[in-house]
Amino acid sequence: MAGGALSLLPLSGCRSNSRQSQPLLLSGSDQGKSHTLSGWQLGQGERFRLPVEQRVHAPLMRPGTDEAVFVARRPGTQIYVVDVIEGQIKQRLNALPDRHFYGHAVFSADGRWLYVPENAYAEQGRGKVAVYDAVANYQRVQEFDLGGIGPHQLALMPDGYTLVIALGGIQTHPDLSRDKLNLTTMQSALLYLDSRSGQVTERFDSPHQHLSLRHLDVASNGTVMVGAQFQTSANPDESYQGPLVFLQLGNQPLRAMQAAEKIWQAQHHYIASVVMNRSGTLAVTTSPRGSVVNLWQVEQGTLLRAFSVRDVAGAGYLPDQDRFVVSNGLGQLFSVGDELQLLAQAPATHWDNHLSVVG
Amino acid sequence: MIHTEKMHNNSLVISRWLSWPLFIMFGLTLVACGKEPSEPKLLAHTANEVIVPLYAALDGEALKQVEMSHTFCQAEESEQLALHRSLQDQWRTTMTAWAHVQPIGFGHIEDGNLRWKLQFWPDRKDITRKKVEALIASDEALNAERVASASVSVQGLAAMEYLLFDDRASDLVLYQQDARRCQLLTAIAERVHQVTFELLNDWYGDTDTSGYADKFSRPGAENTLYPDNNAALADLLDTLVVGAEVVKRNKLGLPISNGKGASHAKPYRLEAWRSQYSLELMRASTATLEQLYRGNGGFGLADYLAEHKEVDGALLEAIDNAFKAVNTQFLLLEGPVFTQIKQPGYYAKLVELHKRLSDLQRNLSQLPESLGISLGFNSNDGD
Repeated sequence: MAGGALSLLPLSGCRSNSRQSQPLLLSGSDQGKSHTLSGWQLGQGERFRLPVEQRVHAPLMRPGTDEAVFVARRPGTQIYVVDVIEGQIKQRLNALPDRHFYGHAVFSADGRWLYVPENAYAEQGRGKVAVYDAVANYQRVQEFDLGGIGPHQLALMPDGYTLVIALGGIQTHPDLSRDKLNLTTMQSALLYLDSRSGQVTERFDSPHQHLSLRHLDVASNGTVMVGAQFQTSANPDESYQGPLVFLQLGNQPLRAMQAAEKIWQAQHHYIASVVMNRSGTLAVTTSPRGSVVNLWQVEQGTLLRAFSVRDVAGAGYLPDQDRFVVSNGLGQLFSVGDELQLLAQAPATHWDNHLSVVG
Repeated sequence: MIHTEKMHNNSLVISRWLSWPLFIMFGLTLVACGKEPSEPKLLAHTANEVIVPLYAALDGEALKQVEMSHTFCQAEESEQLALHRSLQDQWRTTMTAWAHVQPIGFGHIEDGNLRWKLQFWPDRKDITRKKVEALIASDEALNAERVASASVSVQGLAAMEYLLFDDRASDLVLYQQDARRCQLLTAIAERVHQVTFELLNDWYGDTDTSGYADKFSRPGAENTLYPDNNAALADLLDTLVVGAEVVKRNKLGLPISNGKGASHAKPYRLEAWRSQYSLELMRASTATLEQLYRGNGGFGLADYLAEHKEVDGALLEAIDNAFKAVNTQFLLLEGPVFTQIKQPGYYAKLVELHKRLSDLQRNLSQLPESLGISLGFNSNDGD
């Protein structure tokens, strides 16, 4: 690659049947030690790349606007508000003292309220969800206590007011790097919280004490799919080879997706992203440690296909094509459906953990 | 291309011979191009002259191990003692060949749990004993297929070690009382060879699929595994950094309790404690790291780095010295570690080895940054 032109690969392998412009993908992307926020238009290439102080984790669009927020990952303390048309950072939000973010957030359906999981590390790592008012210049207006540790990804349920939150259960403190402090006592769960009252309304415990629920997605019918990470360091003797992806429906406990032991082993105890299609019939999960993308049939609870993609982590859904898109640390973007197709190769880019599809 | 299931069968053995001239021709073409960048030379040499020969050696030893297991199991009782010892020697040779391959952190070995299928370790609860004995006590047919479908703890070289070296389990009387013990031994040896054969052929490739050596040697936008040279270099650097860490921490640091004192030593945390062969395995894995670094007589990473002005010469000198210091300390140690680890004088030598390995590992770990390469971006993430 040295000296070569920085070619933006055309979508040669892609069945381009829509005349309208192709979706914009948002993701953190790093080069060496520098952290950036990227916007990448499929079929065209890089739209913007903005340097930032902290490594970001998951981007998301504010409904009804051209505004996206990128949340710094643990133990980061910043949120960047970006105009995705202009490709400019409009605003930087800072966490309160003695708090840091976990890299995820979700907007209310009307785009007014931004809900952001926080670590209150001076309070034994109590998990909080901070509420910011996007209309009022992103003022921090409220916080909810979750009665647990390590809230990670969250999503808005179809009812429009319930938040579903993956509570990872793992206590960390920014002064102790990213060390895990409570592996013997950790309690991960899926929480439902009423955003009107701030009350936790339901809690479904993780099926295994050392299985940390981290990433999730919600289908339009309310099915929640959640991906877990097994904490091998908690118990090096135990070679857990069980499920890492679960469904939760109604008031039933978590139900494991069905796959052979070797499928789970291939994920190396680690799911990075979970994304469902709009109807909730299909989903993908990514595992960078196993370099595996799995395509799931949600209703049947079974594995449809597995693809090998190195260092794969980010995932999104492309509604126009009814296909998924995944990104990796090698700067590649692939579309995932019946087969895997290389969509683009971003030069000198490490796509970070999560991506978001705009439009 | 990258999602297709890899098929392996015996016809591939022919392609292994056919593919050699192709590698050589490819190498010549590059040389003919004039002022070529040095990455292809480094990657091709590393794959074909360092890594593939190690896999070929492992496969050859695994095959000999199958033959010797058969010979031992079919022998008259009067010959069994001598053959048992020969088979133990062969296991040591095979295990050493595996320890040479073990640090290489890319290729088919990383798919699924193939690594465990060759060596289930660490095994702090001695699951190997339980599972092996349970399988012998069952009434199931014992063959390579059964072993392949069994727990990884009854596959691989650690399970063979249990059957060949364990104080109780390796007693010849047990073999003579129950033929199933020998059936399982042979079945595991066959299973080990199946895996080493599969691994070797994945590096060679066949007429339809290019082998891993080819993929590793030819990065490019069409190569989804290695879209650019840096992706391949990252795998090589990762192998050095992680490989040194595994020797330092897992093979030595944990058994010596990171230098807390001879009375805290944990001999059962040693790799291959049953065969008391851990020192030789540490040496073998370290030797591979050095071969990957120095290039085994050809154009290696050290040569490549020396061409790059942005890499600090002092760092390269420190790595060179660190390898030498580790090797010197290895010369001062004689095995078995298992029986001597709690002796203060011997323990002190192990602590010194650990110190020198740490020094080596620390220096190697600075290489990626000096080249502006980051290792396994998302896979090392932890969020």
